[in-house]
Formats: sequence, C-alpha cells, structure tokens
Amino acid sequence: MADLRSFLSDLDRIERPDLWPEVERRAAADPITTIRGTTRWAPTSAQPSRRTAAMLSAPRILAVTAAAALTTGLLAVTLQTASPDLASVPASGSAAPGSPAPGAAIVWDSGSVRLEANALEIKAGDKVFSGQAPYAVHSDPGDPTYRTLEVEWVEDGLEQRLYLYFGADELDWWITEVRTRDGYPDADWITYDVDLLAATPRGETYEGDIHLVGGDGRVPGELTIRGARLTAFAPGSGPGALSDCERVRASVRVGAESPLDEGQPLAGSGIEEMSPQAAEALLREAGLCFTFRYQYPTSEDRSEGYSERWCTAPPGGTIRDEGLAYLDDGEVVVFVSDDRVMPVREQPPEGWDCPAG
Amino acid sequence: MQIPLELPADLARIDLVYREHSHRLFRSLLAYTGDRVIAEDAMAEAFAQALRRGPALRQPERWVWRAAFRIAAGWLKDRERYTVSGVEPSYELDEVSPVLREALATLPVGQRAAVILHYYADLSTSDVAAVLGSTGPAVRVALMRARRRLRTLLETPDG
Repeated sequence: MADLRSFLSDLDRIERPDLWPEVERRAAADPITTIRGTTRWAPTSAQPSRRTAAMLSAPRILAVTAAAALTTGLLAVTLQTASPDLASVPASGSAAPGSPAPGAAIVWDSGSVRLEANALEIKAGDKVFSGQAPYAVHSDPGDPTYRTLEVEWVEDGLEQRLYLYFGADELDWWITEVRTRDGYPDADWITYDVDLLAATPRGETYEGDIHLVGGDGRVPGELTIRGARLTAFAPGSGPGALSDCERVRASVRVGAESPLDEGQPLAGSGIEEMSPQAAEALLREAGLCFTFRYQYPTSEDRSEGYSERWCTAPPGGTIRDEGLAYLDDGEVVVFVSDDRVMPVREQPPEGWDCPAG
Repeated sequence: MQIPLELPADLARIDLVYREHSHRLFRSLLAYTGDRVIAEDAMAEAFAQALRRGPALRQPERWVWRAAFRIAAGWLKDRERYTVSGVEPSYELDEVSPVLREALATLPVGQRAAVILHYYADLSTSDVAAVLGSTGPAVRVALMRARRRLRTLLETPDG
C-alpha cells in the first residue's frame, strides 16, 4: 500500500476559501449565531476552561440520554405537585443559602443548582414570560455527571417552566438541554437545541448572558437570561470527585451499549478473543472500571447455570461472543463462560477478589 | 514608509493561527466531511468563537482544531439524523484523485477523522484523541482498522 502520508498529500490541491471576513463578522455578531436553523451558542463573558467545548462535546454523555429519559417521568410528578408550592414561594425568595448579587431579579436555588440572573425573558409565540411570579424549584440531584434545575410558575394565568439539564465530566460541567413551555393552556414543550452551553470548570460559576432560540414546538420560543450566574456543580465536586466508573460514564457516547462499539475505549482491541487474564490486564491499562461475570453450568444437562461476580479475572473460561457491556454507572462487565459443570458455591458479599464494602 | 498594522493582541494571535493553520485545517475538514458547506461553516465558527474567547484560550491553535472538528462532527450527526433511512450520505471531494476520494469515502467517519488528523495534519494519536474527544487507545485502534480497510482498497492491481 502506498504510504498514507504521501497518499493524503493530494489533499494539498484543495483551495482554501478566504473565510476571515466571515470569522470577523461572526465574532462581532450577537452572542447567538444561528446557522442553518440551528442555534449555536457563545458566551458573552466566557470563562476560561481547562477543557474546551470541543473536547467536552464529542462524548455526548449518557447524561443526555438520562435527561431525556427522565423528563417524561419528572413531568408526571411535577404536574401533580407544583401547584400547591407555587403560591408559597416568592419570586426571588430562594430558601437555599447564598446571597444574591445586587440587581438579581431571579434567584432560583434548588439546593444542588443555583441560577441568579438580572433579567429573564421567555418568548413563546406572542406571549412573554419574565419569571416574576411565585415559583416552585427543584432538581433531580442526579449524580456527579448529571443533574437538573426545574423551575415552574404561573404568569398571567399561563403555566411556564424552565428546565435545564446538566452534564459533567471530571473537569467541566455544561448544559445539555433546555426546555420551556409554549404558553398554550394545554402547554407543551419548546426544546432548545443546545450543545455544551455554558461549559464551565467544575466547582465554578458560569457568568454571562444566555440567549437561545427554539423552534420545534407549536410556536417558536426564545429564551434570554441576562447576567446569568449559574452554579450546577458546586465547589467540592471538582476534579477527582468522579469514581472510575463515573469517569467512564462521562466519556461514553450516547447510545453506546458496549465498550466494543466504534468510538468506545475497547473498540477493535480484540479483548473478546483474549483470555480473561489478558483482558483484565488490558482493562487495567485502559483505566476502566470493570468486573467479570463468571458463568458456568450447574447441571449435567446444562439446563441450569450460575453466574459469579469477580473483580479479577476468573480462574477459567473464555470471554463470550459479544461478551462485554456497560452498566448504567459506566462499569464494564466482561462475561466469561466456563463449560465445566460446577456446583453453586457461597459467594463473598461483594464477589470474588472484590474489596469489601 | 510602511506603517505596521497594529491589531489587538488577541485578534493578532488568532489571525496568526488563521494564517498558519487555516489551509491545512480547511483541507482536513473537507476531507473529513466531504461537504464544503460544513467545512467552511465549521472553520469560520471555530475561529469566530476563538476570537470571542480572547485571552481565555491558552493554546488557540489546538483549540481551533478541536472546535472546528467538533462543530463539523455535530453537523455530520445532524445530517445523518435528518437523512432518509437507507440513503448513503454524500461525500464530495472533487479536488482530489478519485482513488483518494473513494478511499476516504469508504472509511467510517471516526476512522476517516483519525486518518486525516494523524497522517495528514500530523497530529499525534493523543492529540487526535483530544480533537475527537476520544482516547489514545481508541484512536490507535481506529487507525489500525482504517489502515486495514484502506489496504484492501489500495492494494488492488490498479490501486
């Protein structure tokens, strides 16, 4: 085969258009740049981040899936419980600690997520909401890689909600999804297509304006938050706060079911053809959080079997075809089958070779 | 007398990155996406966001590469999402030889990105991983698979 570098040098024939005028135009434009119908975001007062948006976004983490999956369930709960709370909480009367900045018109604090802002405006078709009304606020506290902020209120007799979904990895947090209501009496969602909105180092507060346009509902929506100060993963949730499993989870692409899938850490590694011991060595080298399931028949006709949990490679067997999977928390599970018939034996509480507790 | 054009420091810094990297970046993006509109949009947006971020970027050249590929990847994902099921997304790269175009079009987008960034843009596998939001081992595997796939294609008698 021809040397790949020289083979690819043919790309040098491609002429690069002069895009600098367009770069300057976009840089000088409104913080929101709408490109071919999709809303792109840029902060007006961007904070330095140890990890860029580009690095953050490629692994669209499981939290996004979790957020979407949870939304339906959470809705059912909040619709039933929001109304009694609405009258009891003043518009900017957060019950949670923390002094609002001077001029804050909005202070919504669920205890795990806090949003202050100088002004908020939600346009849903021809209706405008300001958030200046009694409200209910709560969060799905999630885990170190996922949480939400869910605010609900009634304004001019119409229900409005602002739902923010957050994702995070060991370095940064960001908004994965934004939703508001469309202002109809039978209110439905307006979803804003965001990607890495407000990406901010863990433990730090995002400060800036947020302006989003959404258009997938019955009416177009527009969300503007002026002078937002948003803290989703407070100090103490900084680097090192993630377990190995959570770190894996934070890097798992949406929809990935197996670490062997393309783009996943073990894609093409050949681990499914290795001995369990070699697989363990590879898993450790890759820094993955893993356990084995050691499966064997317990009856001569092999109609019954048993599965043991091992934290090291089990003593025999082979890795089954398609024998790896992710658990929800990012743990990689390796399934090992042994053809030998063995009796069921008593298991250590956490499994074989596993640390206690 | 020649009067030097004085640019604000941040603007000058990004302008320098543009002059030094934009040719190779654009070619890489076009080879990656096979879509001139996406390549232009991704590059313009990446540099625009770099300008907005100003001094927050410690290594603007690395940031721009990452951002541009990230934006392009998002567009490819969107395009895939809205493409009729069963219809192969187009891959257009008229400027290069048909063999190269076919070879790149043959690769899955992840492998294509890894090949372009490593073998054309001369990024190390760890830098490729940073650009793609992947891991070093995953990139090395992608490169191995891509080489295997390209070998089949390029070692034909006429290849």
